[in-house]
Amino acid sequence: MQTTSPPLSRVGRRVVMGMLGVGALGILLGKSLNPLSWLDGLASGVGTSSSLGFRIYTVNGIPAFDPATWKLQVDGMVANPMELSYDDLMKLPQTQQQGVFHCVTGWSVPNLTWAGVRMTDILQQVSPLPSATHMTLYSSDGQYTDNVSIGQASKPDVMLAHSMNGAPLPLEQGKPVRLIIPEMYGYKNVKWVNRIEFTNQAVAGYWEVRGYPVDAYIRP
Amino acid sequence: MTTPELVPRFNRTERAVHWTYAVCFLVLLGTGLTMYLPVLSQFFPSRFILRQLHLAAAFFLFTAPTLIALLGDRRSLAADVKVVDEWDEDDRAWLNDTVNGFPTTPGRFNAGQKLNAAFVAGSALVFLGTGIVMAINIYTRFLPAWLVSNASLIHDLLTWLALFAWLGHVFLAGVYPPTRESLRGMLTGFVRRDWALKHHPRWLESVTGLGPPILSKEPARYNQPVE
Repeated sequence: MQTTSPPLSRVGRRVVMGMLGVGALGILLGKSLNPLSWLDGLASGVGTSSSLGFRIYTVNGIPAFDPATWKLQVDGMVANPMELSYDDLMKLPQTQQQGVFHCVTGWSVPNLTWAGVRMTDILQQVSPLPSATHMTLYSSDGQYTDNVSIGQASKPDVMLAHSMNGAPLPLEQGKPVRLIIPEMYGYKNVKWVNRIEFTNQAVAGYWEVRGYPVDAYIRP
Repeated sequence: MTTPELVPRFNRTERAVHWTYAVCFLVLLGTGLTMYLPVLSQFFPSRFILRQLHLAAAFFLFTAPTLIALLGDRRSLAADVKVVDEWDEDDRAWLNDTVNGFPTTPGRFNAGQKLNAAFVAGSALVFLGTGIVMAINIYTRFLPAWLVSNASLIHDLLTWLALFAWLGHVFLAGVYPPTRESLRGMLTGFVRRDWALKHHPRWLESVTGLGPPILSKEPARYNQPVE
């Protein structure tokens, strides 16, 4: 039975300060705390074909894919514009690479194997005009676009990927092809690419119009 | 049937702050989960609109209650904050009693309500800090990837905690029969006296002077009388 009334203790503010402390510690240590890592994958496993840790972002739904009618148009300021069917694309020289996918909002997916066609092989085939500086990639969702410079696209690890981890891209991952440019955040890695237009300037893409930086290089 | 006797529990300022915060929180939770869970995000047509709503709700979650506090009855809000902050032996006993089934004599808020309120305040600040890191990375310039990654992880994990805390709050304050009288208090400002006597006896005593005599030895420090 209580006989004395001890002084009040400031528990409320301690809870608040404690949460701020844990939050700050989490920002500093975060993912190095291995026990937390399984929690991070919690969301992506719910109701998606990709349980690898991808969150699925769309701006205009997921477009359907029909291999019989799908075309990749490469045009604009090039000497040899071309139109590739899915079979044509698969007949180009194929390549494979390992990578990590980083989203600008903070999540990432490690240990991915991408297979597809190097952008340098496409550049070689279409021969951009000397005045061309950039390319705009269009998504078949009808809304999403983004640009990369020809210099950025000429790096050997930039590819149009049609497969991930040994299987064709899932629909929500950009089937049939998406751009993979590993040094840049995911918003440059346009999904459902169906047109590449060469231009003489960087045409702001979907998110860049809405405030994102044009250069999406990831800072280590 | 007789009308139950009512006592004033939350004034207009307190209710306005609560509901403004609640609406902003729900918009944040709904847009946040929709952006976060692939099962929802892949079918929602405009991620841009979701994000703008999320950021706007975050802005109003902090500014609207502040504005209401400035224009309204600041003293009652300050008194509530004080009650949440200050714990006495009875609050510690409450947590123990809840487990062991002893009768309790809470004041204006019981220890569980105090914990919830402190969690809400703490989580709002952690959400703000981690959200600012994410927004800076997206809209102004890129921060080191590890920093953004960690901030995003904390933001996400806290969302789950906040979701379950909110579900618990809704259940206890609005659904669970013994305690759902609370909702009337937050909607109309008044609660039944007999309910208050059972669940917040020392508060009732402090505002009416008509609490159970056995409790009178405790100082009435749980709240300023409500106008």
